[in-house]
Amino acid sequence: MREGTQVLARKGAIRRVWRLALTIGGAAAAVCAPALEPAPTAEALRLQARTLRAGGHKDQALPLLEQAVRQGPATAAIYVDLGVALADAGRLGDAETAYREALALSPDDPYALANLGSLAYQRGDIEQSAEIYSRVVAANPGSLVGHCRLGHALRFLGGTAEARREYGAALALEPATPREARLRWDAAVSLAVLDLADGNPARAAELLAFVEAAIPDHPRAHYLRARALAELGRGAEAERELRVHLELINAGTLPSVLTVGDDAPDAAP
Amino acid sequence: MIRTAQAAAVMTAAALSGLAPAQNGPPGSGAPPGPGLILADATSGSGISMTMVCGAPVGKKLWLPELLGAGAAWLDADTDGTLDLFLIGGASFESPRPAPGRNRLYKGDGQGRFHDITSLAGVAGGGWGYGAAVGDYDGDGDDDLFVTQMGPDVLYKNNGNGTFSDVTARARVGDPGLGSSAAFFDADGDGDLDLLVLNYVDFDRGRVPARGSTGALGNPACTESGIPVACGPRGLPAPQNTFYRNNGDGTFRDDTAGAGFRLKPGRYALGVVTGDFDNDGDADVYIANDSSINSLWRNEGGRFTDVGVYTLAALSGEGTPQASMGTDFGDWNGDGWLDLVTTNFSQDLNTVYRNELGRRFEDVSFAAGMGETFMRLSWGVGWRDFDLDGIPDLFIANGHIYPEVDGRAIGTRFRQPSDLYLGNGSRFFRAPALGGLAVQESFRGAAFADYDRDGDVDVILTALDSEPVLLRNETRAGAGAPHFVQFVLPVGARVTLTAGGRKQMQEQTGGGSYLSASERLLTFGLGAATRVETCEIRWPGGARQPFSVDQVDRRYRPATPPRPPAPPAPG
Repeated sequence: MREGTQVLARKGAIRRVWRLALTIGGAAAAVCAPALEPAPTAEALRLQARTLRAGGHKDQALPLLEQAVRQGPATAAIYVDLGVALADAGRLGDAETAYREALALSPDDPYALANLGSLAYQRGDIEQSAEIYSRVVAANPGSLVGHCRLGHALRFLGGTAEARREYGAALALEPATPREARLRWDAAVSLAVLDLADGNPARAAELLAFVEAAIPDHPRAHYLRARALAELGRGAEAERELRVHLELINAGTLPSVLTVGDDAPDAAP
Repeated sequence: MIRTAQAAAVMTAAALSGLAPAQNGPPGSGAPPGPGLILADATSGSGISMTMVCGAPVGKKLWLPELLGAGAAWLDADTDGTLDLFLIGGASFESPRPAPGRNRLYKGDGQGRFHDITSLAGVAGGGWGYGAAVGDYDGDGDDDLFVTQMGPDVLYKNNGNGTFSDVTARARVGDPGLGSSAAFFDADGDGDLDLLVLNYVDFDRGRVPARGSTGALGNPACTESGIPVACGPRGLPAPQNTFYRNNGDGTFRDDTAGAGFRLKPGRYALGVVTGDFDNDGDADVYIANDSSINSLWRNEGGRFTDVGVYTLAALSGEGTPQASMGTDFGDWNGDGWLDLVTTNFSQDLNTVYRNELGRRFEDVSFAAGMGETFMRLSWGVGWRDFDLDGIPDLFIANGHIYPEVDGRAIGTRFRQPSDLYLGNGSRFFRAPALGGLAVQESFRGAAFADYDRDGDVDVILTALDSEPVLLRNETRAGAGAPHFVQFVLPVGARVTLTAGGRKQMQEQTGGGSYLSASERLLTFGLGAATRVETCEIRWPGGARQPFSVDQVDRRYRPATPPRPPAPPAPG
């Protein structure tokens, strides 16, 4: 209990320092800004920043979100989006602070948790990443992103059976967005990776055939199926798969294999 | 909710996936007892003191070539039987041309002391050097030296008396590209050493935006995790490597196309190693490329075919091109086939491949324990038996390229320690960061040698814009030390021996690591075994010869048998 109080006090101190920094910056900006138009609400600023980010103007989103925090009332969604903008700018430490601010306001905020987990993964703290994603799926068992990313972290840590369980949970969920639909197929591919590691290329090949049928240009499925087929002694088929994979490589870039699948930070809705 | 037409298929996939818990846990669990100090920092008092210059100082670098660092080479420069050390000094864009020679050659005394003989030897150079290769290209029995540069490269012929002559023009090996690593090896089995020179990138400061400049803004090739960094290599033209076939008369000819080494488009080549991965008796070539597909060139009678993708050795286990820097061949699991390692950028694993009977490679990085390398940015690498237990270990030199990562809370640092991973035949375990393994720099090259002749493998490390670090192996110090046997053999020769019931195979590879040349020496750890039960040498060209190891803890120089007549060289 006492420890919990200290944690909360620490969080409060962080928040005060953060707001002070933004206030100082805001005061400087206010000196230069014309004071004719009514200030938009913090939420309006956040939505404006989202539009800018979606339009590829990531650098312009950050000042708007900083202004939204200064102006208040700062919501968890504003802090999440601020964290995303800070991460875009390479300020990962500040991004983490912003996500923790969001959690102070909304302890189970799925976006803040997911982004914190992703940050932990990117800086190599896979165990912390797994802990955070465990919180995500505990708070929201329907989080497809959470199950997928927890699976990745567990796989990294050697928890094959546990990773398999998380990917299975992701496969059992209905995707709510096209991105989630893609992630669900990624979960299927990751299960095939586990099958390969477990010495079951036949099951991996069959699973990947389903993925290929659904998503013919899936970036990993053809290569992994080639591996499975090669292990099964079906060399000609493996070569065909590799040719397709090479074409995909030549056509564009593939995601890094070890970042958290789809590791783009999640902006709040 | 989105209900796609694929939903049913997904559920079928789930059913197929078999969600029952897997039976296999992480392999190799149960780490061996933690070792004590293995590699001591022996730099101080060694007499080695030279600061590498690679472009502008750290923090002020604007261009990609300033991040590569430079290498080192172990060789017997004065043919006195003790090992000497060559260090590449580098240069900068501001250096006059020709630059004051900055390379250094240190004569070793076999006890761990070195003194500078650069001026006498005539190898100070005058360009911006990067990599080194050592080989007796003219067959006169001494070590010659090849230095890659920001064009043209330089070949130094050993005069046999501790001096060298620049024979680049006569030998016709002055490749003008931005050279990285190079390897001497006998590509066509004719008994002389050919030369493969890697080129990293076609670089022209006039056409590449500087780090943080207006032209770099918004260019993804000029940003890393939101940090403005030197642009490239993506987006820059990728060059061809150059293969020089030895004419046998002290000259070479550019036979890149004839040998099949030409690629369209080129790739950003950094590390090279040669070895017989398919056990057919000739030398194949593996090339580690930055930000592009790696290459495995299978030797088919002196001509080469890139089989990297089709042997699953060119990409990560999930099919992704990696940003590879260094590489090495070695039989780390004792099955008689050369396996592979590549070192890669941070937020990726270093990749350990297991050779599956010469037909394909399996990425076993996770199972082999390479998960620990995730945040390292790794360069020089080598499979050697550091603790002399009869099982190859893995040494990796680390260091980031961007000092800007410090203070960004991204889980990595500019200066990093090197890592020694001790093998148990199926997995590697990181040795404690003691002694020399605690030293943190932005390391680049790693070259391996038994410079103090005590029977274990030592290391020289090069560091970006800093001094080298000499790591002395302490395994043979003290009573009860494990036993060893060493062989001095030409590139392409391999030894298979059995001692204490354990079978081991090593091949004298060409190249290996990153920008560096290791001593041409095979060191077999025997553990407590005091005799070698069987030993066979396979010479370049394929001749096999039983060899009697009369005594352990000795170095052998088996005489090269007469060669059968060589087939006519292609091209």
